Amino acid sequence: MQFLAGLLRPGSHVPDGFFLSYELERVQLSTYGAISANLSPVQKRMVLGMYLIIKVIVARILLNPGKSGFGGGGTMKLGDRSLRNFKLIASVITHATLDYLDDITNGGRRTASEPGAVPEFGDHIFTRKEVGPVYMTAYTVSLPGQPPRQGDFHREMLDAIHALLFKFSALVEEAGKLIPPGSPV
Amino acid sequence: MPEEEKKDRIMKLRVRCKGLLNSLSEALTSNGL
Repeated sequence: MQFLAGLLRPGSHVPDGFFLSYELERVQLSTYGAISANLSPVQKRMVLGMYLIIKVIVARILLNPGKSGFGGGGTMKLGDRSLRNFKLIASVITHATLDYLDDITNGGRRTASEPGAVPEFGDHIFTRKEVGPVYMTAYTVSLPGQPPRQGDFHREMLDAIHALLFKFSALVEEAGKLIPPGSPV
Repeated sequence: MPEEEKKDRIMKLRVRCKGLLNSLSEALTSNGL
């Protein structure tokens, strides 16, 4: 948490390769790879979202389920169907996160449209079109004794991401207060 | 794949996607990481 809080301060040096192209297009860096201006709250949320959701949850865990303890901690080989499900979940979460970040950083203009939503992922994730039946289709909820209602999965995902990043940003901000003033960046 | 099975599979995937994000969100609140 403190690492992230420190990283978001102006003048802090970003480790080489830490930012993905999506972030590099939205954050001003100096020639030496330091954050050259105060990041806006929206830019901070973007960096935190890309870190927590895209780099940790998607890249480290969902796209590497065998190494992340799924399948008996490596004792069992995950089947093709399981691997495909992990890839589908990773892809839906990636597209939803980029849609959310486009909404807050770019006025809703979709820059993360396929192909190459995250070029660094290559074909490790499915394209938006491929996940369309899961991600973008409205559905009907039918509960016993209640009239059917329409669900909007896309909207629900954006709300879930908003809630997660809101909490995560608040925690990182709190952690930032623990960094002594004037400590090296 | 039969249509019903396909629908069921899609719903399960959706539940997992949302569940993962919501669980993480809850964990951040309850543990104050």
